[in-house]
Amino acid sequence: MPCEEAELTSSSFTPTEAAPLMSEFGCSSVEEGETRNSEWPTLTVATFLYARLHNFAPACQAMSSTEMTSFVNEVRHILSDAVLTLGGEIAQRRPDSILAVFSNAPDAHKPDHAQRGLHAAILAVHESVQLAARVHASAHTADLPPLTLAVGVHLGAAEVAPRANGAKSMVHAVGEAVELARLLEVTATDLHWSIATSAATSLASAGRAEKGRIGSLGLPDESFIDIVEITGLVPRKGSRTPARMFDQLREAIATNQHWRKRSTGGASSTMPPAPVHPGSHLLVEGYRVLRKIGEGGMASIFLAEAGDGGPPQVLKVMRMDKGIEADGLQRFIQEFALLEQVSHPNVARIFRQDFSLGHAYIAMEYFPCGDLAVRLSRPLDAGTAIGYLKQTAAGLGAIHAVGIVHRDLKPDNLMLRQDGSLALADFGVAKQVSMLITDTGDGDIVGTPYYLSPEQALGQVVDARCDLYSLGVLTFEMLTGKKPYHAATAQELLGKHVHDPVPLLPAPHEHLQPVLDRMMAKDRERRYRSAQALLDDLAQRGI
Amino acid sequence: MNPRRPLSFPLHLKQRSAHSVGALARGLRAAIALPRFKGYRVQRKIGEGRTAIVYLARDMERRASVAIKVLRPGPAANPGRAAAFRREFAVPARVRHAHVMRVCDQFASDGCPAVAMEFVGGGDLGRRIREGLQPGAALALLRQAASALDALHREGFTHGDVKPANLLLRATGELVLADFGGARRIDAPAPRAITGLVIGTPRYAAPEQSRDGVAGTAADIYSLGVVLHEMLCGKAPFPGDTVMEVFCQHLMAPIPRLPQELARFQPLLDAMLDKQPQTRLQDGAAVLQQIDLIQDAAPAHPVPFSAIRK
Repeated sequence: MPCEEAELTSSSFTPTEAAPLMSEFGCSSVEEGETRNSEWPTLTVATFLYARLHNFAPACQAMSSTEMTSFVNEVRHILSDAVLTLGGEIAQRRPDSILAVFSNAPDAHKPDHAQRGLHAAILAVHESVQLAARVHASAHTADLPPLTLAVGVHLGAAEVAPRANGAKSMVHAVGEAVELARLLEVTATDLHWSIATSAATSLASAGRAEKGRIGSLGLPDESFIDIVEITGLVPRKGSRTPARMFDQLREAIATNQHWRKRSTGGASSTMPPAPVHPGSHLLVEGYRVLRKIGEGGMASIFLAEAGDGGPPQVLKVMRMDKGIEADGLQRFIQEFALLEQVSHPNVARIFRQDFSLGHAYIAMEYFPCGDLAVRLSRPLDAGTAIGYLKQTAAGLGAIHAVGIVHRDLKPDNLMLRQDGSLALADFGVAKQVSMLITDTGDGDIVGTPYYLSPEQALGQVVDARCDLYSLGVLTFEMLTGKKPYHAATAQELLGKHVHDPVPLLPAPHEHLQPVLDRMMAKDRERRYRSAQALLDDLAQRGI
Repeated sequence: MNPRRPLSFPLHLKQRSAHSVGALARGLRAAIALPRFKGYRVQRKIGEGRTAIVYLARDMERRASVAIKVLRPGPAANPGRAAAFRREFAVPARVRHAHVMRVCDQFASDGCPAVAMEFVGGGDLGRRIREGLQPGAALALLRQAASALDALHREGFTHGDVKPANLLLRATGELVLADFGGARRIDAPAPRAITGLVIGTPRYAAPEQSRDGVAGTAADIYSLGVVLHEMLCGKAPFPGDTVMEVFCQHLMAPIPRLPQELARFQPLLDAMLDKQPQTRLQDGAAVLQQIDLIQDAAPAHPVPFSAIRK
């Protein structure tokens, strides 16, 4: 059972700051029932709400002291009233934030704390939008960054105890669920949502909360929780409240979100948002992360499900906490725009690319059958090899047509589908970002240059024909099961790429030698002009 | 317009406004959330990574600005990590040199190791290169970097990660060698050799570093040679676009020829970028000697910058 001890309160992070979850999160430092004395309350399952008003400090600074006192009081009332109206208890109150607990008696037949918690969140946003509008209507506070509320709501277990002084509607609350509510508030802030809640909380709300976008939030223990944006309140069955009221709430949430976006520059589709807590957690909007399928260098690879359904996709997430230069990002973005145009059966589909919280991510087609490198561990028959050659050439033709050179063609980058087709992967965007990252980061293991063209090794200007050389190397390997050049060191191997003659194919494949010679020519002027020229030549030879 | 004109809040709110302003002040302070270190006044956070946070602070005793780097609490602060953190700063603490990052103090904050070092406020060499450097200025910066490496090499250390991002500039324009996370003793046993694979910071790693993971003092000189090329030409010597290309070009590609106006730097560049560590300039001292040769031969009237960049 997850439990939390006093350590958490002594954490060096102050409560108004979104405290990143520490190692104590989710792990038990005290064996259940062992050192726990009876004064400690047991864990309570309840709904926890953490709401924070952003741009509170600049607003205060612009006001005279009377104004400020009045403003601070109003914020306090807005936050408290929303909680108390729905029967919540206050666990912590700061000038700009509130932590509240919604619970039911243990023997309640129909616990409704989740729906009350979400309802309170919606009311608080509505009230705060009214306040913000008033503040911004005033001339000398009009130019301030807009006041916006971000709310995190989570249903879970934590220790809830009455205050020692017996204060009414005030409690102490510590525990995992409290920390998650705080983290959800940060999440809402980062994604420009008004209210972020865990998917489980929204399910427990008896359908009273209107759901918006979805996402996944990574926790320090590498697990993920599904998160949902709340966009409005659904009327109770037989409710006599006029529909107009519900529209107003919905509008308020949208307005709050709009202001939030504006205050952070909004144009996050062209530039990544400044990481608020770099590296502390992973946040992906629009995807439900299923599991991690790989980790390498600065990138992690997940299997994920898109919010709008369809087969699972691969989510490649790259950390960008070390400064990556703006021009590198510009290239990343431009190239993605190009890739989006490529729709070819032999090129892996790229669905989406985005930034979040110091991460760049790309959503790609998932290939459960694995790559050609694995397939090559068993011999290929000539027919299959030629088929793969043609498919790869066709895929290369498609990316060359939009001006992208793969530059790193190898069996690990050729993905197999169930139907025997094959698709190019891991080029362009993915490649360049990994370059940017290794330039600033810790480096990575990149393998042996079996497939590198002579001009790449020599540092000459590279064009699409370098991919044809690599395809030649690959063709030799597919036909013979061996790589054309072997050497003890990378340096010697590169020397062979530059100087050694094109190796001869064994007897059964002799008729392909002229094709191989043209693909693997040292001088690229003597290679095929394009992937299409290679395909045409193969067709002419009746291969 | 009077900026202090009161807001027109509803009357009922004004009546409830007897609540203390102290609470607000507390809240504001908490929102900024700076740690306290004895003897220092912390001014602001200037950077953070996954394992450490860096603050700008005032050393109250020495009356100087310092950067305080603190290892993050939590999972990052395991004993191994803390030891590596202390090791990293043991090197600059031992090598006292005008162009090596000065370490002022090492202490623990809430059990997390922390180090106070000189605050270097002039950005890094990467930025300076992007702004454009005259050959004379490039040579002066190279000399400073080489003298810092010389001091390090004399003490028996290699830096292991020389690159523009680790060459910082003081406000005075002086260069400072920083980031000793990759530093090793010269006589330390080589890390596990990896055959056929390449690791390291690709753009600046010497061939032998990527080939067998061994980096002697000559590897620092190679990396500095790459930096020299960037300072002179504004771009890396090898144009590779993928990690594999860059590594292979370090192993294989010929050293680029400098344009005519910069030809006097060619012997120095060739000697620093030699692919064979045995025949390369061996350490900081050797580079300093070679620089003196260039300066003696320098033309009396330096070529104007505009003529070089065309």
